[in-house]
Amino acid sequence: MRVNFVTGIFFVSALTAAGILTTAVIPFLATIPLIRRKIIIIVEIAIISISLLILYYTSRFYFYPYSFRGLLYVNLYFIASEYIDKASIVDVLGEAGVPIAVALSYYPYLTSIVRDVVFYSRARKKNVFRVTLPIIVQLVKSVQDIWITYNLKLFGNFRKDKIKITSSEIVLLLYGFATLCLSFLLKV
Amino acid sequence: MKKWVRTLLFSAIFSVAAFAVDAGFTVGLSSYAISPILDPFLEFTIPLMIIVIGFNVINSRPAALEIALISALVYAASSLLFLVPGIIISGVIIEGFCFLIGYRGLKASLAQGGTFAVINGILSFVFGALFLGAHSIIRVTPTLILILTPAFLVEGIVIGSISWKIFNYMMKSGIIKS
Repeated sequence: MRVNFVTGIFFVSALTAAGILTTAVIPFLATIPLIRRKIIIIVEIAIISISLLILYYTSRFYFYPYSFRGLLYVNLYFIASEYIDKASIVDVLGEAGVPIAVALSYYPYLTSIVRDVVFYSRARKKNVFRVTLPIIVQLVKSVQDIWITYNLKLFGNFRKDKIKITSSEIVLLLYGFATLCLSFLLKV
Repeated sequence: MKKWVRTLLFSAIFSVAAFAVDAGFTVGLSSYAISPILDPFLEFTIPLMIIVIGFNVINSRPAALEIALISALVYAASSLLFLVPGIIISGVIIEGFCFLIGYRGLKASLAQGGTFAVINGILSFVFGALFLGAHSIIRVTPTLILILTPAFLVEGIVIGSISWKIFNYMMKSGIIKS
């Protein structure tokens, strides 16, 4: 299921507004079925359960929206990088859209880097300098890549005249609107 | 190639990356709820390292102000409002002395790490105690702040030296040009 850039922006902004204005439980639950990789869902459920247990035993259970809100933004980046069609970003924004497309496409690359660092962390002997070195080197390299793509000059007219509306975009828009309404109606 | 666009783009990416690591720590342990002391101590490990390396990489005029303003905006969007005033005040002070000694170098990165840790730590401790209200386990007293200040200073200086070591490695291996 691939959607247009405009539809994706509307969906992400609707869920962000719902996360800021309400307790962010329903928007977070609504993002979970859209994520494809199962290991991310397992890790997030583990994080949520640990933080809720700590909050319950320190008798501060009324702080629970903060943990849901933090994970909601991470999920929205994953959804935007999986579902938005990268060619449509260049269609809508022109040359200025190339850095956004590059920034959205870093998600599988970053997960593979983190997996490698975790896998080889025993060989690096738990030294702070050695463990953080590959992560920060890749961060600086990706920043420089985005700066290079900002200076890229594309030749030709990339703006399409009209945007095609398919059934999947209507489904996603209705889904976002329904979660926005439900999070205001149901007070969890 | 406009220079202010480069500064803005780099500072936005570095501050968002630092926020993402910090949010991973604070959400996973929910440390803000246990006590306001634990949150700055976790924030000043890898997120502070990313911020100091960001100052060293950008190396042009309003870098500290822009990183401070963008990360304050991101923290305000996730409604952790008690961290916002410390970040803004420390950004203004770092911008002030980086005008004199520059953004890059061992002396500059030690000073950046130390000031960011001390000012942001103390202010977030005070505002976090206000945020938790009467429910906070530890009361804010002047003696406690006097005890905590050297600890924040030592942590900031250690992180500043590690980040200069990483940046020096990146300069020598040719990842960073200019």
